[in-house]
Amino acid sequence: MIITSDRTMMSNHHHKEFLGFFTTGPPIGMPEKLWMWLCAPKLKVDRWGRPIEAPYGLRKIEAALLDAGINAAIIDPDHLSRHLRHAKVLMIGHHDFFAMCSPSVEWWAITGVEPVNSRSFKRLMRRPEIREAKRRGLRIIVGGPAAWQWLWRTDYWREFGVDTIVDGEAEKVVVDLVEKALNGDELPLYVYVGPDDVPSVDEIPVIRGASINGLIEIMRGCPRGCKFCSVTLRPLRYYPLEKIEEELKVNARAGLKSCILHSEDVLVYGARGLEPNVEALLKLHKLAKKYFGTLAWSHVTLAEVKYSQEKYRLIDKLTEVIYDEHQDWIGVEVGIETGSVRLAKKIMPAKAAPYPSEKWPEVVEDAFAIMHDHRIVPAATLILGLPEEREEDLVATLELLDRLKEYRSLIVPMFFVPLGVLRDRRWFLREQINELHVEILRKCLWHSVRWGEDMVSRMYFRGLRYEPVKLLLRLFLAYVKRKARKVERQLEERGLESAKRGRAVSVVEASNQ
Amino acid sequence: MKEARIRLSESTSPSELTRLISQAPDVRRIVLEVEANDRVRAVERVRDFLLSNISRTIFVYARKPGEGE
Repeated sequence: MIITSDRTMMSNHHHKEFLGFFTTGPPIGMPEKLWMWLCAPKLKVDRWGRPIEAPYGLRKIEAALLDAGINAAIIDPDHLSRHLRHAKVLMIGHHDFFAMCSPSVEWWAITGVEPVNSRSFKRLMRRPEIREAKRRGLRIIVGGPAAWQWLWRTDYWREFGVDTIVDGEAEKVVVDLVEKALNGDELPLYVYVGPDDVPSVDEIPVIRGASINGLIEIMRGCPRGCKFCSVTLRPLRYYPLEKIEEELKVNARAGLKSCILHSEDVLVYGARGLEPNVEALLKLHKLAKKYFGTLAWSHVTLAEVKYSQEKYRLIDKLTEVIYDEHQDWIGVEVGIETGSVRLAKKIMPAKAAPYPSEKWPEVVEDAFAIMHDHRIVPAATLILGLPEEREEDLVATLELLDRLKEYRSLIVPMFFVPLGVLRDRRWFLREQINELHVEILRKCLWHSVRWGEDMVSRMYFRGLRYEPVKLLLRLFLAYVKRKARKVERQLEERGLESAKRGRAVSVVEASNQ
Repeated sequence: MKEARIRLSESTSPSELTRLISQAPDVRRIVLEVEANDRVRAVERVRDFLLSNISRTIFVYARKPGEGE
């Protein structure tokens, strides 16, 4: 019983989580091998080919199976062949099998080149040892947050001989599925785990081996209910500190030096509604710092940054705990999504809470200012092509981007991908890009290049061992600037419609190739 | 938790599923047996229904037309 993924997932990205985002990009400006070395270097493994660190989601599945007495192990993709000779079941997880999630989807649409995550996954599935094992009766079960993509790519479902796709939190269904697979019983083709079948906190197993970059969950679900997000469909569950400590210890024992606290909004950990639980958050951060020199947050919401700081001075208090001789800044992902009050009211009515949606642009700017002052560096997302988007919404987003210019951050525009309550809506495709979208893409690019260069030089990579990575990133940024200027010139000379007829193709077209 | 088992014959339109399920709002788990000539085709037949579902647990099984009725 083997659990694996391809190299873009099975990597610690040089212990720099942000470099992992390069796996969503196409290999441009350098050979693919170099690109893969930059963003997805190989992991250390033990003598059986088990990685010392592995993706957290795979660790949860491994733990659920081991707890049920099933002999399961995560195996590095380079060490699969010797295990596949005897394996009966192969489980594969991924964040973005076919580069259909954002931001992969827009890098592909803009450049016309398939991102490395999708290339790498297909290479894995086409390996002769997997095909051979499949011919011998290997059963393949696939899951993870991108499981929904297989509903759109049934051609690959056939080609790769996948037996079952599991979409949703799998801990409660996976043992039964694997037992059926091991016994040769019939497997369902597709399983969607609805909110009534998600595990309770007690039913979520504790990981047995270390997770990539020390990432651990502190809670599941999100109370804000944004319509474009699938996480909000599931109930809110907070891990107790004892459970969090068990996982921190697993990672510390494996020799990891840092951790990432994972939540859709770290600042609502233990909250009553959206009212921050200051005591729980301080305890959580002190606990994490007891085991690790540095820590990062996966996500926070901008409203919570503003509210918790203004009411409780929480950001002051947390950064006092976090910053010491090991760490003087923190990175985090945040969602701006739109600068339009009209759209915010429609698609994310609770995103600004406890402030009214009318104040959304102000909430965003105030939160950016607070983060800038506290050396918290956000990687922010915007969504282009939201359902019912109008020109006035894009103008509002452009105005907001102007207000964010002086705050240290990366801002990544993403094409709308139908997920969550909106999962039956239409994709946003390259053909729908208009002049205002281009202006947003352009503003975000120059903003992120400016601050990206600043971070590469001064904050993100410290120490001689990162010099090769730094050099490569600087060369890449120089390449991006050169290309961007060329595209800007072309747009000025020939206009958008002509540029759209250029080399790039739509993702749907490209993914059908 | 209330479960339902539904078989979608080859001649039945997949849109019929939505109608059937709207009549049983308390059903939280559905085992869907879909007739089709190949396994993946069975999922393709009910893809729109699967994409529109967010609240129920669903297991989809493929059935050859007429098999095990």
